[in-house]
Amino acid sequence: MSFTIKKEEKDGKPFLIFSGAIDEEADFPQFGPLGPEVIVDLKEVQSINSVGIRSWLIWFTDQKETLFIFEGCPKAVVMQMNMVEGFLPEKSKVHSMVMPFYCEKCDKEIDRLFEVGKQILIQGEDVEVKFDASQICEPGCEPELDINKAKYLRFLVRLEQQNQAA
Amino acid sequence: MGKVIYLKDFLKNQHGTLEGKVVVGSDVRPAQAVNLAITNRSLQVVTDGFDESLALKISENPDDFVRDPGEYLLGQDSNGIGSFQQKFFRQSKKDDFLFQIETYLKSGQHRRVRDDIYLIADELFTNFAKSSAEDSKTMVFGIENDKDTVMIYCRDQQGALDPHIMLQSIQRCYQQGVKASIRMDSKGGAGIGSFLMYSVSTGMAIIVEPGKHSMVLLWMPRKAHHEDRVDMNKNLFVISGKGE
Ligand SMILES: [Zn+2]
Repeated sequence: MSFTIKKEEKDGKPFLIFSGAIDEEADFPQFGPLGPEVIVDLKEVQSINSVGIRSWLIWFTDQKETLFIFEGCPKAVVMQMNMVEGFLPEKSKVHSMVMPFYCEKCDKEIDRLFEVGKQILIQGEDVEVKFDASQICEPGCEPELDINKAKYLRFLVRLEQQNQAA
Repeated sequence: MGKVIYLKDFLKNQHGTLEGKVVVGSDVRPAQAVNLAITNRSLQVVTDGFDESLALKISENPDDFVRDPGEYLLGQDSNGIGSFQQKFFRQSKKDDFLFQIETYLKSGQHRRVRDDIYLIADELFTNFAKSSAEDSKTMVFGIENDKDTVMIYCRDQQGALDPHIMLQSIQRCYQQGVKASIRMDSKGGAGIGSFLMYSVSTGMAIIVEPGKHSMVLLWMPRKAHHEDRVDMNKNLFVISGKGE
């Protein structure tokens, strides 16, 4: 699916919906100055490759004055947020992200969108993910988070420290 | 001096060359392995318990390794648990290529490596299609696994790939960071692509014999999480012939 950015408005703020594969075909539109705060919805982003990372970094670098609030960060993007330093723009917040679960009993992968500050808690270097396992899969199932929690959320710890220092 | 050499002994003596050697070190960091491979045109850096006699066997039979890497890297008993192969050409459409791979990776057994294999497939396709000299030349992409390890490879029969360019791009990402490397990477993302592939794997082999074949192969433990793999040490094999 080709990449698009749709611009709408949410709570009086610009709301950008990214969707598709961020790769060499991805065309990042120039919106001009976006204002002080922008919400970016990443739920529909399918994948990102090295050329896409390059376009992403260049596009966000051009918007230095804006605070970006990211919603619905999928796993493929979280991986780059952890691996590529500077992937998150200088002024950014993460509102929600996908947490992957796996239920061994049903051999089923289940993605859940969790909010930072609600289910995902960051305190200093410590991370905590709060959930009720009985609500994730079928009754009687005990699905587990299918990640290394501390490392998967490392970018949030760094972001928190960065935002506190600013 | 034998063909297998311990890095700490070499660093103590600091004479001779590592060219063509199997270099063993228990804690060679990923960036250090790349530096060693850049200073010595051809070598195998073996770390974290990788069987050094196996590395030796690979260095003595590179053609055979290119033909069937699974024979070397995957367990004999579990050979054929999963395998996927796809041919492509310079003109092939990447979307069609990736769609096949996405379909193959749907199975739950690939869930922890799925996103990374998909990314590697994307990067390898681009790298090989770009370096291919002619429309008619076939390239082969494959994924094979046993119960512990999955390997992803791409090979051609041209030997046009330059291992040094790949290694230098990886080195630049380690030394200057990805963001700074991108500014110098006018050709697109190819530079950071090599870095990403190397980072998410626990082994990378670049085998090139000009005029004969090129192969880039990555391998990783299937059950390790992405975020754990990124922190693991890397085995790095660079076998680069001079050609005729
Ligand atoms: Zn279940």
